[in-house]
Amino acid sequence: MSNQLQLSRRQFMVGCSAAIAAMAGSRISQMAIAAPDGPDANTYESVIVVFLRGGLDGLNAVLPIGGVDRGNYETWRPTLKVPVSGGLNGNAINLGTANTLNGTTFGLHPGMAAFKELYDAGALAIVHAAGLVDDTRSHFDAMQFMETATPGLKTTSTGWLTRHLNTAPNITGPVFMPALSAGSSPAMSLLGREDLVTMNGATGFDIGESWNTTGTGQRKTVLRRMYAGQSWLQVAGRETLDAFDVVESALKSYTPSPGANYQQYNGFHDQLKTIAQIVKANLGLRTATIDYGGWDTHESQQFGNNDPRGQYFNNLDTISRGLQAFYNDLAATGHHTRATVVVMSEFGRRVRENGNIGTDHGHGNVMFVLGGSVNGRKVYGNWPGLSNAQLYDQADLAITTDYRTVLAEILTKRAGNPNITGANGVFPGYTHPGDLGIVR
Amino acid sequence: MKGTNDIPQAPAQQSETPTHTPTPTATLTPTPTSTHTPTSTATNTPTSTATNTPAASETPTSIPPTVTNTTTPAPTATLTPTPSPTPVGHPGLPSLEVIVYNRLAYGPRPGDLDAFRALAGATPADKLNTWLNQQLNPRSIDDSDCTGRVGAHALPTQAFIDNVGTLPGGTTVTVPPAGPNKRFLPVINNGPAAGLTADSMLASHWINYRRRPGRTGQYAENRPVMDVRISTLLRAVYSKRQLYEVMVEFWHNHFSIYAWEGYAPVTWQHYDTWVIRKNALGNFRVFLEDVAKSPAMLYYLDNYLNTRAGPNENWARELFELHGFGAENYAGVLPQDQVPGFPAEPTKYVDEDVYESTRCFTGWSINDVWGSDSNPNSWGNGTFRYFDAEHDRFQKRVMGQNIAPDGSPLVDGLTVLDIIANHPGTARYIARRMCMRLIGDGVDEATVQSVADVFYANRMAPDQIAKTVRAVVTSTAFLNTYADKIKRPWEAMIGGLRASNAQLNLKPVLVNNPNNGGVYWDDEQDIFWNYESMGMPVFGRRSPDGWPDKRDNWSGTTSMLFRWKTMYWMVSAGTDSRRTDIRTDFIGPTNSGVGSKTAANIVDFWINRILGRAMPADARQGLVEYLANGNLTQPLSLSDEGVQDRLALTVSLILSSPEFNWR
Repeated sequence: MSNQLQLSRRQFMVGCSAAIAAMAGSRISQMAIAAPDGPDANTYESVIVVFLRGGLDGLNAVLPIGGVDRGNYETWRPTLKVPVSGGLNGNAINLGTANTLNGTTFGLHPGMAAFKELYDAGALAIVHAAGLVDDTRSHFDAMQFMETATPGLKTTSTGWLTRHLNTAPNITGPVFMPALSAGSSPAMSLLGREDLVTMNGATGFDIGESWNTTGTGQRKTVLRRMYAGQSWLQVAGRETLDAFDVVESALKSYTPSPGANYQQYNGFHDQLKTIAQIVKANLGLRTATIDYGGWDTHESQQFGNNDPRGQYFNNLDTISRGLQAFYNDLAATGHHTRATVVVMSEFGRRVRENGNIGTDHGHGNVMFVLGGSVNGRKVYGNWPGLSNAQLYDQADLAITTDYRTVLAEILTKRAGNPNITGANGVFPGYTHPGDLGIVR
Repeated sequence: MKGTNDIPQAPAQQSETPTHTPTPTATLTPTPTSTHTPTSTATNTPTSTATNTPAASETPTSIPPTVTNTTTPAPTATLTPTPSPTPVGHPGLPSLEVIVYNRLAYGPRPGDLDAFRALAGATPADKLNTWLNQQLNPRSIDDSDCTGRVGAHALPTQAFIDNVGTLPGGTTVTVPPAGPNKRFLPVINNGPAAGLTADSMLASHWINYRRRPGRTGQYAENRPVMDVRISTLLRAVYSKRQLYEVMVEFWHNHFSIYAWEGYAPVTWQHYDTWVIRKNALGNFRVFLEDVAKSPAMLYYLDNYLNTRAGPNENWARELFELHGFGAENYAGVLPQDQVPGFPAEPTKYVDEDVYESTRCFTGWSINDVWGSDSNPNSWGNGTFRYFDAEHDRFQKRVMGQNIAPDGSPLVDGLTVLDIIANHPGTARYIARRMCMRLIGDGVDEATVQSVADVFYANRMAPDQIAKTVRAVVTSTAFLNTYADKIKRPWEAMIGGLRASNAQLNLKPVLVNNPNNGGVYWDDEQDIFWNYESMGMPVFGRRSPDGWPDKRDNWSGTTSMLFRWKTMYWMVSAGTDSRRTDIRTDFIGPTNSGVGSKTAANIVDFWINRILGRAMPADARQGLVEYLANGNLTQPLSLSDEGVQDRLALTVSLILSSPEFNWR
């Protein structure tokens, strides 16, 4: 499959202007056979995975504001609790009593006001007490287990998104950019995918400007000859040259839709903008990953008692505003119905706060699902409770929804891949308990 | 100045092999009211504490004599490729010096490969042994050229470190008094002798950060880490102690800290010099203790906040998972007494061990007393300080070992370090990390175990790490592995600078800009700005796990494209007369090294000079055609600007080749 996709990137050049094709060198035009995807609106789903590295404190992102667990929450978190009223700098944003789970009602952290708007618009769903069913409290184990999606097994050589791309029956035609890791290094969920593109943005994605006597195209020709062999490094080099051709031809410039208020000089927002650009360019993007770190809040998670502002507040603000801009960007052109974003983190944090206005590594967590085909405005899941006896290892929020349950529903219903379980599926060893109804 | 004084050493390493008699814990007792670090930082003997360590029963005879520096036999492994099937397109095994200089060094500079071939020894393996004997005793190598280059940069916070005790009359470090437009940085005078120690250097940086006298410059607190970054680059490029520099990088990555925010920048000279460089070929147990007491790590992993009233497990968890046992020896939430081997020697650690160790390290903190401007001596100096009143005094149980209540100050934490350093699981984890760095991604388990055995057997030796490195390098797997990995971005850039014999000038300049911070040091950042596009900023890993070390992480499109772009930028900077940071001469070597200056001859000369081996025919032909620009038969005129441009870019293309990037 990889060779076919690689070929298809070169085929793409046929759809470009003759000048670009000439610049790209003779080898590309020789290999050109088929026309690329048509210029119609996207007919395929783009699944975008936002990974919050470091362990999001989901219990303060979506927190109990009513019911018996509000009392438990305030007991565990005398300093860190998000106030319901009278906060020094904001209060929990009420999600409404329609979303009561086992007698507990929920609110959003005041740093996520942008998410409340998406929620009210029906584009955002929340899944609580979800996560990786494994005993590790290690960041790095947990991330690896989640992204290879084989809990407890470190020898898996492919990521879950790689297996999705490899098993989805509907990825057949020429695809120019099936997978993107927005950033400078590949996400582990796309481990083993040769044609993965890693890119912060299209700007600067080149090999240096031409000098007066020496064309970039000539240097590319030499690079193609040096990377013509079959070693893994040469394959990686060819994929890079192909990606460069596509970026150079199709992603030169981008103007977001009106209403897409990306923040300037914000790397996360820039990367989201790049993903939106690629979705709209109809390059066949099936999966994209994007990371945002800074969640390992062992200390100074917020300013202090009754004041939820601080680093954690700012991080929530960045991701919720960025994803709101991203959603608006796609919605303005009708692309939002074929794009689904899932937000996850390796684990939640200890229910009881530590002595440093922070929280240590925990277990169960919250997930968010965003998109134009999401059954939003709802909190999904089965709330396990916060009394001492209800906690995992007497310390953490228990997990009642395997994170793979959320992903499996998105892959089957949105991305059209029925090959989820079984040894050769996306999630080997996993049994799907049934959809939660998060997406249409 | 001599070139032999920039490797700090613990007294124990200079004098004698540590005995197996525990140092009396009394020497570790701090004065609780002291404003200075307990003198325990000077007693970094491997057995610094704890009568109950497994090590205490070891005898010196358990150290195999075959791994000492002088008696090591030549490697017996052959250079025959392993019988396992060669991967498709594998470039084959090059001569040993190419392997050595691309994995144990930052690539060859012109002449390095020939120098290796001229070393004493009948076989390549014998020559490798000679090379190792030099490289594992870095002080025996005259490095005055490199030291001179670092010194010539006059890095404001660095230069005096290299010169400690070497300048006639000594070096005095003074701190400018507080006041408007006074920078916080030490200034250098050739005054009366003044011994610089780890603590005094740290203090001079710390107090100026904390008190921020006249702090207005935007780069003020980052200056120390900027200087370390420059000196690290210069040493990687120019030092003859290449294996030492490679191991310094290895340990910076093993005990990885994000150096660019919070307290870290002002601690960085201390961390680099007195923690990492001091121990890079030393003893792991000593190393662990220096890390545990370093303000850089105490802050980065929050242990400075760890008290009995407010425990914080961040440090203890990463100490177990990343620094010591490794996640491969982690068994999650399993109760301690259900781990196989409990209590004599549990095979794995569990969360309960992390929690108990968190208690052991309560009170390990920093002297960060907030003083008053009227009394400069009232401020904390940033050095390690143990607060007994904040220590959890009751009994603990770590890895099956009971730690008694009311132990002497520091003993609980030091016992944890003993347990980690003396566990076979730690030996395997460290051995695996070293094999992965110095050999390849998929080193066989038998090799890892044989290296681990050397690490374990020498855990009391002052040169434990050097002996372990020797075990890695003399393994059959080392000799028979090539092209299993790609150069990481740092190796790629340094390798390019070395191969092209670039001359670097990254001197900071003193700027006086009243509208932007008053007087401050600025420097040429282009080289790092361009470099960072490859995704591996220097001392810039945010998470404590260090940069990944598998080829998949560095062969993505960003990594590949930007390493090509970096080589392009490197040669273009090297020929741009307006630039002063990088100068590279492509004409001179071509003139003197090539007879008839046809494109083919010039390309072959540079391929051999950079790679030390041939390139595949079609790749070479591509380079020849590019340089020839239509003139494949006649000699090229090196005075032609177009030819000069193409020559520089031809070199950049060789530096972009698969052959250059293999390791």
